Amino acid sequence: MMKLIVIIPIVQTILLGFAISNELRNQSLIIVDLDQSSQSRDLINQFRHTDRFIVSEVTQDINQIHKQIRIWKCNAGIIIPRNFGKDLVLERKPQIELVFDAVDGNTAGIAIQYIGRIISDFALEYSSVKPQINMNDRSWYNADMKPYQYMVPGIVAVLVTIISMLFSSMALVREKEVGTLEQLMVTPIKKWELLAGKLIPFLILSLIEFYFALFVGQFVFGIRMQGSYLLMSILTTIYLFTTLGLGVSISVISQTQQQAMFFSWFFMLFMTLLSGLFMPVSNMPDSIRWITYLNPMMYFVNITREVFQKGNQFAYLFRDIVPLFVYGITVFTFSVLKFHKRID
Amino acid sequence: MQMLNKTRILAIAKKEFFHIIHDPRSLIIVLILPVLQLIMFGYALNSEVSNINLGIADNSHSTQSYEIKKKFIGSDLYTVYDISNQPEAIHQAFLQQKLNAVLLIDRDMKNHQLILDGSDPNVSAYIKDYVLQTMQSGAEYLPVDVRTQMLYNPELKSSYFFVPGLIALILIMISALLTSISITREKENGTLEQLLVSPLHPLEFILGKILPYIVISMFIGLIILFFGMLLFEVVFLGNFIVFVLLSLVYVCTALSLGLMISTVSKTQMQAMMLALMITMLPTVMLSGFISPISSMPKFLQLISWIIPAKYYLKITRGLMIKGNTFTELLEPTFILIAFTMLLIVIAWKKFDKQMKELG
Repeated sequence: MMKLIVIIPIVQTILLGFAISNELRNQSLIIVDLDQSSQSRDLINQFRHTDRFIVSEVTQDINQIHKQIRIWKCNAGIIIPRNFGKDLVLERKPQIELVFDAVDGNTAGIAIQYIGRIISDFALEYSSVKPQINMNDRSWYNADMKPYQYMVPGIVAVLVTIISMLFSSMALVREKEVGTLEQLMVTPIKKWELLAGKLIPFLILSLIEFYFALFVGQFVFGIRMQGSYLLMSILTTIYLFTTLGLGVSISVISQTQQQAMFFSWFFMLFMTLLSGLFMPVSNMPDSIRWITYLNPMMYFVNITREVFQKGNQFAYLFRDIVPLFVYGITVFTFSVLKFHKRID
Repeated sequence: MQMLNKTRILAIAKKEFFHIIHDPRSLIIVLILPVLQLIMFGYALNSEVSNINLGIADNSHSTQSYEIKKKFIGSDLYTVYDISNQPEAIHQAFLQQKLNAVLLIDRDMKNHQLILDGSDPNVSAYIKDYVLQTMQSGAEYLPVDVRTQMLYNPELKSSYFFVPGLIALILIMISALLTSISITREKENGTLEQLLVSPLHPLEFILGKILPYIVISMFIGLIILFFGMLLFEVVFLGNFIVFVLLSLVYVCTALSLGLMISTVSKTQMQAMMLALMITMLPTVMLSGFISPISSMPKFLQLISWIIPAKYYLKITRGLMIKGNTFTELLEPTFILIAFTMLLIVIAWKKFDKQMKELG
């Protein structure tokens, strides 16, 4: 069991960190070159020189595109028309056609942008009219625009939630299920002593896991914590009051460990989906967005990211800290009140 | 091996059904969870950026710079703020999460600068593209005309992509997770040992245990399919019977996975953790459910080869969205069948060994 507790955070952090990167890569292309001029070959080479795309085939048969996309051999096809080279040089605006497998609409949308950029960069070499506007860009806090720096703090936040909520609820329910809770009931131990004794280990364990996963993340992905560890610890502890409180509540409404696990999973899934981990909260429709404001994990994920990436301070995080604090106190108090040493 | 007694199998199955029905809490969650997930994914997950808080520092104060500013102010996509050039001011604005990006308009109108809050690289990549497009809009100089055709999903609906994935997730969750927990619970409580000293053959026990979960998972899978088509207008181009048959194959793969997990677990908690690690996490992350496998680093792509959901996803997406025929989906089908057989053999060997050790 201990082995699992140690391995799972590491594995999850690493896996999620690498897997949920949205950087487009290795999209396989089939190119129909009806022109076969030096210009068309040059254009095709632009696609070979980037690792975002793989040119799987160059052919003259247009029907191949639909065929290969249909049987999942290619993601997209590009049709270079006849006289492309000539038209390009004579500035007659030749028309290139792109055909996409849009089952994954999200990826298709991103791929279009990249292909469009490659084509226009290429074609501008032949244009006598150069763009008037030159714009450079710089990204702060994340110079390489690597998704890891953004994902890893979020993943760690989710991890801590899972561990604290799941384990606390299951540990408490197990006592109920096995019958030892009844035995504890006849001892003079007070309710708060029982809960403190049960929950403090999980509080400490969750904090340890948090930093452990964070260190692993920094080591594996080469990212650095910019903020204050003290601030992070305090805020994580506040957040843990909420999750542990939820764990206690779950143990109250569950009779078996399986139920506790399902309830925990239920909560976790929705908290995670609505936390801004996978999708920024600002992108969500208004009706869903107000639900996220009720989600303690949303504030915590935000705080973790801000402190980790920008070294953000207490003063600026007020908007996130206050709800977290309020949640911590109310949820924890409420669940402790509902917890009875009796079996219902 | 003697003939398996059908009555005994059905008796075990009935007992299992009984247990399931009398655990309404789990049942409700198992039914509601998928539907809610469906709704959540459908409405909440949208990766298009809907609003950009853009700070503009105009160092030129010319008619041309005004023209540029007008493009942004006039667009619904941006909320424009005035900001000074100072890095400290920009840093403050980012810390207070007031702005997503800052555009520094060059005094000489030659080289402009866009500073992005890079803490969310996905969003900032979009913002970069949008700002560039907006800046260049109205210019007539693009030398090539590009036409695009989106096959199978012209409106780029995300539901087409994730509804099949959700079905895959639910099926493996119910089949593998619930089965492994159920069998392990019997082990934990000691009732497994009791059952095995009865005339019940181990194989009868296993088949009886599995039967209810096959029914439940197929049922819930179909509910998700139904709601997905109803709520999000997901199409279904292929053959429905083939879909049901191939889904059964996948359910069998998931069940054999659950069986294997139950043979190596001693407690329910162990079974649950293992099941989550081996079914849920890989299915969500590595099967192509959310992000394409081709975009992942090589070592993850290799791991994805042993994840059953990856093949089932191709099957469901192929059947539903592309209208693939059975012949076109032979490869993933065979792989799933091979997986199932391998897992059953492993589980059986382990189980047999444990049985012998029990005496």
